[in-house]
Amino acid sequence: MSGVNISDLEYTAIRFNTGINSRVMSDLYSQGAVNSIRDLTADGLLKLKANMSEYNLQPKTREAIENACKSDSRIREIANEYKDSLEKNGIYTISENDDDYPYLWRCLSGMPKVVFAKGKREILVQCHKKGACSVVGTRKPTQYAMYATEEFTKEIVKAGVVTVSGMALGIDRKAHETTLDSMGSTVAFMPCGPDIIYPYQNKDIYDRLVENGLILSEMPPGREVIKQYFPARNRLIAGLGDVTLIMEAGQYSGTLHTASFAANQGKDVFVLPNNIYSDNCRGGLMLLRDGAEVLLDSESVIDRIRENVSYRYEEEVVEDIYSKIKDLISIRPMSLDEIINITGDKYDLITKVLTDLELQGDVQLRRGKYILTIRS
Amino acid sequence: MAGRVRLAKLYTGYTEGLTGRIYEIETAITPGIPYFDVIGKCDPSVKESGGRIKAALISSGFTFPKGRITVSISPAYVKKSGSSFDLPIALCILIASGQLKVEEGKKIYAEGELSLDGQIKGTPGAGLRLAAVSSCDYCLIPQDETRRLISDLSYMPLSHLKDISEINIDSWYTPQNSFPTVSYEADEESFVDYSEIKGQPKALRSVLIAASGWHNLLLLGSPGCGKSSCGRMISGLMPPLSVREASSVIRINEALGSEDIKTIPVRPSVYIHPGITPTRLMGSSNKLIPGEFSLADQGVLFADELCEYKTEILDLLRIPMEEHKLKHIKDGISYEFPADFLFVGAGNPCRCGLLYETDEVCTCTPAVRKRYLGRLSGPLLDRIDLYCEMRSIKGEDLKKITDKQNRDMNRELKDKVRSCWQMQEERYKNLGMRFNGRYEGADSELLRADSSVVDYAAEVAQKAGFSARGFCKLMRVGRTIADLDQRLDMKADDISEAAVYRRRI
Repeated sequence: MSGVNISDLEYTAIRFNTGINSRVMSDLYSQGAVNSIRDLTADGLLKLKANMSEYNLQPKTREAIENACKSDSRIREIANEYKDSLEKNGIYTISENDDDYPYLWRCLSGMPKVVFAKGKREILVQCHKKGACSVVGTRKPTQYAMYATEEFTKEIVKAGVVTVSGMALGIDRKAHETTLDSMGSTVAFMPCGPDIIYPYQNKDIYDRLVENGLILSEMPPGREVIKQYFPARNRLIAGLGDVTLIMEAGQYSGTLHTASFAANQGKDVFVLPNNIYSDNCRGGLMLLRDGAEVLLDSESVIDRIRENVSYRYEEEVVEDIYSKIKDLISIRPMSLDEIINITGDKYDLITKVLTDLELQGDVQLRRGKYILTIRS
Repeated sequence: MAGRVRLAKLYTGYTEGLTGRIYEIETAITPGIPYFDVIGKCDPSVKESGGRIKAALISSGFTFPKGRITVSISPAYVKKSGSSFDLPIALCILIASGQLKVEEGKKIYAEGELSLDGQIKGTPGAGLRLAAVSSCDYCLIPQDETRRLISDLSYMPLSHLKDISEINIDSWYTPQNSFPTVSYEADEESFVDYSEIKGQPKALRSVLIAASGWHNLLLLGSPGCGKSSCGRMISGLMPPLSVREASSVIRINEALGSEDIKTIPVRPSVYIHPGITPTRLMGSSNKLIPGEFSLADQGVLFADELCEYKTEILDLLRIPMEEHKLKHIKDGISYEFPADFLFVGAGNPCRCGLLYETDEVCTCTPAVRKRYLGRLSGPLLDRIDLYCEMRSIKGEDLKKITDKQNRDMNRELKDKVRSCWQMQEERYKNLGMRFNGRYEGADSELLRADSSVVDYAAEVAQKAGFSARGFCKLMRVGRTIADLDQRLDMKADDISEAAVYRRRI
């Protein structure tokens, strides 16, 4: 699954350099002319042109394909340029044909079929198994929002969740930095090619991300920043996270794009309540008024992520001793000694499990015995 | 002879509290009607020594000189008692009367009680007195005191006055210099009996942690669930006394005037009960006799039925638990007694004691329960690192009782404690302490806890509502758990186990 797949690159070259846009793509898919991005290569395009009459395609689609076919050698050339650049910069591609292509993106429309990546690929698997959380906010945050970002990020990372953000200044930077400091995993979506550091002030974070995190971009390498692309990038941030945390957003902030993408994708949006007199916080407060969830404690966020993860991935190993003990206690209250004598498990394992369960608020000690906590 | 005063002087020792001091004895024989007197604030036990000395000298073949014999013991302002002055006075008389010759200016140290037939017997407190002897040319001590030496000394043991065989002291004085090397190893199988505690892994583990890290422990459980045997186990799990510890234990026993001279000191395990008086606990300032607190020094103080004590007694407990020593003031002089013990408390969780039981039902009302445990004050509980609940063993637990052989378990646990002590000694050697349980701070570098462990401990402490002291407790108990595993670095799991023993009352 590693390395560079030339057909992925040709696909990217076609998408970024010809008239084949998303509308054309959806037409091709809906008519069955194309089944996978693997069909969209320089050769595939020529084949498609030959068989075009078999499908009931729209005139604009036919036109686009014919135009594209004229520049098939140019497509190959660009793909090879990409390939050189990828190899030089240690970048690889992830396409929908890969197993670790984000599961959440498969369920959404309008997500890129191929992304460019730099850094630790296994973080995508962690996103799938442990969940991911988008943390976004303004580039000029208040001290309060910075503090909250750090605290919440720490808690979330401790639960094994991956943080996702955009490597912008301010909140984004803080989220990445805190995650890396806490030895957690984090993903940054770039609004440019993955080999370009934007903004350059974040070079330190970029270097650490390459080492211990993951940088993703749907832009091919070498592509410079385009302002207009920022909202599109934000849809990816929202798309990869199970929930989205809005730490601070002004009234016309790009952060609001991320929030609306998340909401449209059916994700939960948590907004940090902020100062109502500060203009820079207005956007977030409006979201709250529109029914976003209030970011009060990290537990509810983690619970929500776990819930989402449980629909797509079931953890086999870790859960079982915890639930075994919970089941045992649900029969009748039991002391530590009884639990050990009945299960026959090792002492230090049971004490760890019981303390963890106690910290989570699942069990408590009453009258010398552990009981399940009744939650309201 | 008339008109001439014959004088002799030698040295002996006397103890007050735990400090031995060298005293001077002078004897003057002056012509006149035969008469014997000892002066210098002496009580009857010293005054009546004349009778013993006279009989002993005569039955050993010496003569008791005629004339007025005055013995003065100095410093004269200190009250003295006891029979250890017999031998020095007798020797003084022999020298003054010319029956024993010592070169001018040479110092003699002597002590011991005489029987009427001339036998020399040891007296209590010998260890403390002999520790004070520093420079003397001749040192004569009773044979049966030799094993109570706690410091190096050159001496000649005497068992009978007849050992003084020649008139010239040099011709028979043969000094020995053997500091008896006694191993304080207690009998391997004594003290520890696990049968009552099997099937109660939490209690066993708490006991092990307490013994390893010198953590004060509180056991709560119904009557007959094995609390007392836990308390008895702890001192047995600890390594035998080191020479330094043993000397401290001997000193206290000496100060008590313990008659049981021949016992090899073992790690103390002192049991106290709710009926005890403050004087028994603290010792008497009047007589400078150590109390149970000091007797438990270097060992375990086990307080049974802790909730039944009067509050005044419970308050007394706090002094040694905080300072590890006691002070007594007598005649304006302050005397210090060590009281460095591991505290183990045991009690019922409620008045009827059945709160933790499964089959029997506790009948106490919540108010009664609260009042019952409320006797234990916050500051006292603050000093306790480990809390453990116990209950009577039945059902499934009984199967576990046949688990492991007592013998193997004994050796295994003792080895663990021993290596745990070594690790701690290494860690705290620059801080002048020895145990995790005595460490008040939470220096993550010293305890070798990385930031993830500290963060986890902080999280536990915060959720459990701990004070700063509670957090430190969690860290040091966690450290002991890591030590038991022989691990240099702490893990978060150590903290999660330590949290199981946290205070919940």
